[in-house]
Amino acid sequence: MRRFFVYLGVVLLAFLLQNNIFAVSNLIDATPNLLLIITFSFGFIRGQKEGMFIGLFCGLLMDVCFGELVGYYALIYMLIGFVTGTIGQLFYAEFLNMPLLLCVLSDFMYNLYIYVFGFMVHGRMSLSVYFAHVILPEVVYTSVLTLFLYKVFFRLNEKLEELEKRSAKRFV
Amino acid sequence: MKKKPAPEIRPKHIMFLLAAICILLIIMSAMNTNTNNFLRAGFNNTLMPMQKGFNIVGNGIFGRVERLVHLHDVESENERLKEQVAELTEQNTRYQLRLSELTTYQNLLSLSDQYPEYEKVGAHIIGKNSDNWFKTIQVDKGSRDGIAVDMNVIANGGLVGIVTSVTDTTATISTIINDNRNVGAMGLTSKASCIVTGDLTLYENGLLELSKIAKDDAISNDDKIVTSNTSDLYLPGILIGYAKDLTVDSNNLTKSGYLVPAADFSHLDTVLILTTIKETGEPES
Repeated sequence: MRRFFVYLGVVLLAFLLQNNIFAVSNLIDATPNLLLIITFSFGFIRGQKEGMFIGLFCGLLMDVCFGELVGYYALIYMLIGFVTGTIGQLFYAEFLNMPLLLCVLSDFMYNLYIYVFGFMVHGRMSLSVYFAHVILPEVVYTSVLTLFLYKVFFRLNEKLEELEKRSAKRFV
Repeated sequence: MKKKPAPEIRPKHIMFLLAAICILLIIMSAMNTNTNNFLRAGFNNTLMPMQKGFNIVGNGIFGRVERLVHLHDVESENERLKEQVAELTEQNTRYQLRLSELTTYQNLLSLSDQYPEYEKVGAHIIGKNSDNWFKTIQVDKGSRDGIAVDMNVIANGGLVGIVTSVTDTTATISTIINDNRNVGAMGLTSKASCIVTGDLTLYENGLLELSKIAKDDAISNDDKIVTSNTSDLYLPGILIGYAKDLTVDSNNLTKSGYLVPAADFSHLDTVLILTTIKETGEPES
């Protein structure tokens, strides 16, 4: 239960930060995708199930506030949570530079999905232009933030696990 | 096939289930916008005060930095605008004279006003879509303030976009710079029809696409382009922008080029929502 509220708080905070502060501000050209960092970080650390549900929630938030179709963002965030959860089963969480690799992988997945279903379907074929102007800046910004945020989420998870262990012992 | 004794639900199965739900939602909201709004309502009402709060805090912090960064640009812009104001005032007086003349003639012919002044509601922008693909914005006025889907939105005298969904207290606006938006338009003076299309790559240079102008139509560079009488979503006579770099297409039948939008999309802060909805003659569903 405690974990649920922590996730809720973290996701809401990230959502508000990225949509209501970063995106509205004219100082930053490309907005980093904080919700994506949360999804793949927890997916990787905590496994497929939690990754999926956190992703689904992040995506639904985006859908509800900005999407024209409900479910469009939810689907890709959920899938990213699942994929990174699967990767998490194969590698150690402390694996060198894993967060960065995950970030690049999931950000490409995310942007490719939006490009294919939002742009390619109505005849915008020049992927290279979109890659240079939209995808790359976002991947760079998000990667830079990942270096810092992944550690924060990793610590947060350790703290939560510690607390869970303690309260589990109390009941024994 | 053997049946497994343990009825354990694997993550893979949950994944497929959730994916199916998402796809179902997409199909449902694509077919009917009402499902869309219904799903949004609960979420948004709790979220809206938080969004507004964050927006105010963010504007407080970033706004100050931004002002310092942009001070130089603003100074030169100010100079330019002053010149423009002088020019426009002069133009305006001329137009007013003509308008009074026109009203007299219209009264004589008992024609009704084709471009009435629309009722407007002002709204603050509280959020923008953070993915760098779609240009949708969220404002702090909703159905409680009389906003409904398909209402037109303007800012700085130019068309900004159209309301795509509303909740009690918020509305989401899809801007015309969005890659999937088309606006039926026409030349202000020539009345020749054309189409304005949003294009993400063009918007990097602050432009939109202007196309489907018949080759011999009298739209030329710098002409004012306004929303068309025949558009089924947009009210007639709203300024969209100015034509630029028109060239004859390779089919030798049509002209196309770019449009410089009248609204400044990168510095949007407040918008006006026109509360009149275009009458298309179709029965209400």
